[in-house]
Amino acid sequence: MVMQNVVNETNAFSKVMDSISDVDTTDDMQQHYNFEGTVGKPLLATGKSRMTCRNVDIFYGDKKAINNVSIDIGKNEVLSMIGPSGCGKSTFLRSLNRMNDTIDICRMEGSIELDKENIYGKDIDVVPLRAQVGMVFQKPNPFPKSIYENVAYGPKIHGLVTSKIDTDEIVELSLKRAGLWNEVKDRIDAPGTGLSGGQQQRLCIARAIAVSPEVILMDEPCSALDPIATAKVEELIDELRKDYTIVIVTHSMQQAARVSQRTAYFHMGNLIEVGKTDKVFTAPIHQLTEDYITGRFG
Amino acid sequence: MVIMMNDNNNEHTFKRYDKELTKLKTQISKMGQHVTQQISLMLDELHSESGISFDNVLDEVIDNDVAINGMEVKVGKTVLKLLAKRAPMGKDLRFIISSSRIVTELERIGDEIVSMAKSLANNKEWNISDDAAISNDLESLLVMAKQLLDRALIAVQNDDDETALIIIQEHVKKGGAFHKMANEMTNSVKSNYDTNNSVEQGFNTALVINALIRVSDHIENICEHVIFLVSGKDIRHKEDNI
Repeated sequence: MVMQNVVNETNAFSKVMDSISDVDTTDDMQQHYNFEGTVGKPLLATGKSRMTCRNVDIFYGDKKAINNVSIDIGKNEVLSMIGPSGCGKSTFLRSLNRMNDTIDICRMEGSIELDKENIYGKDIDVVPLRAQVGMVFQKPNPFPKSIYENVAYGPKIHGLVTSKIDTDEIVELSLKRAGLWNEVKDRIDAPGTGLSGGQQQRLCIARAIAVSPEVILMDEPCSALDPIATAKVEELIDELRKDYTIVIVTHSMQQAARVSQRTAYFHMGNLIEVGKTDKVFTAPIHQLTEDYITGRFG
Repeated sequence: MVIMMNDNNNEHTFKRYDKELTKLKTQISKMGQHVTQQISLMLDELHSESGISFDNVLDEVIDNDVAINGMEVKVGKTVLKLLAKRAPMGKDLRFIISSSRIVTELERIGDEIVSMAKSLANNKEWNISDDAAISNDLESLLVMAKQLLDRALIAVQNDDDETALIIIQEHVKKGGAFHKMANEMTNSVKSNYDTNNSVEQGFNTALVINALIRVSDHIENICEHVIFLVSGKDIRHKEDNI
């Protein structure tokens, strides 16, 4: 009788908690450390997705670095990818513009589409692809050229400009969008490498913007910057979201919480959980995510 | 596929963080004990064999309340430090936010007990012991309030959202056992109010009942904070769902 009461109370409890739930009840805590698939909502409703990744496996030789990842990346959203070192988040990021092609032993299976076109298709030229899906790296890496040339180089080689006037215009616009114009307009011909670290990183963002990308990938873009420069880049990311889709890999959970609308948590090559950033950082579904974001990994 | 984790996954990599969170939990527990002790003081006076007079305990209740207020301030400092130093996430964040809310509820329960003691003391014209029905009802309500507060505080310590929900549903929610008992006390006051009773008696017992209802409201809030702490679900002001 007592046991029956306990069972009834537990059932009643579950029922009430389900009824007041605002989370996807198909995902539950039962999974704990048994990973049986991604929890949360990795797939967006049809029509909203800019990049569509399905069943992506990535191998380095025999070693599987990414295991069956499916996720949509929406238009005008910042998606942050977090996880411990070696979890595969940077590998996955680099697969989004085929940067992994430069590694001989790296092999990819599954499909990744940009605006419904398979970026791993036979006819795809990776040079324009990498303009469409630009990348900003951990350490600012301006060319050893002037600020002007750093930004103008991309549009020139992609044939986006035909005259000096066009080039001037695109350089100014890109630097303005990167929030750098006012700081460099009087020394536009000075070497890019002479700028501060934060300015160099924004120069690299301007360089990515100059070739009219649709998606910008950022691999720990602020890890070499001080807090003020970081704040400027984060503010810029928020601005850029109006026009671009941004995917950012970061080790700073506070940064992910500040800049992104959705967060994806990777662990040992698996996409464990995807969800609204607010939800992932306050009440994640999966125990692994909870343990990671609360600093319980030994 | 089973993903292996370290065995001590309940501990933070920063061991000091664990100590700070434990300290916060201990502070809440101590503050809770002080508040339940205040209810015990009221009950002791009701059981006094030398004649009930709340004048005897009023000073002690007020002094204890000052200590309880001080504890709320201390917890506030701990919470502030944790937020600034640790930038908490997930369950830690929910625990810290809930702790801050729970101590506010406890402090307010303390205030209600002081208000109750004041209403029962300093009365020249009547004494609650003059009316057995009313004093019995008061005793029952105080006993129940103490038990429910104890259970709610244990739920806080054990992250027990099931018990928290049961306390809300069965006892402190409007229409629950506590409210029914408070209604009985109101009826006792009404039925016993005649020419022999003063306006002061009616007025003060109404204040006492009101304070008791407020205590149960704060216990309900504590339980809601426990549910938020454990599940991340905020059920405040969602009565239809409970």
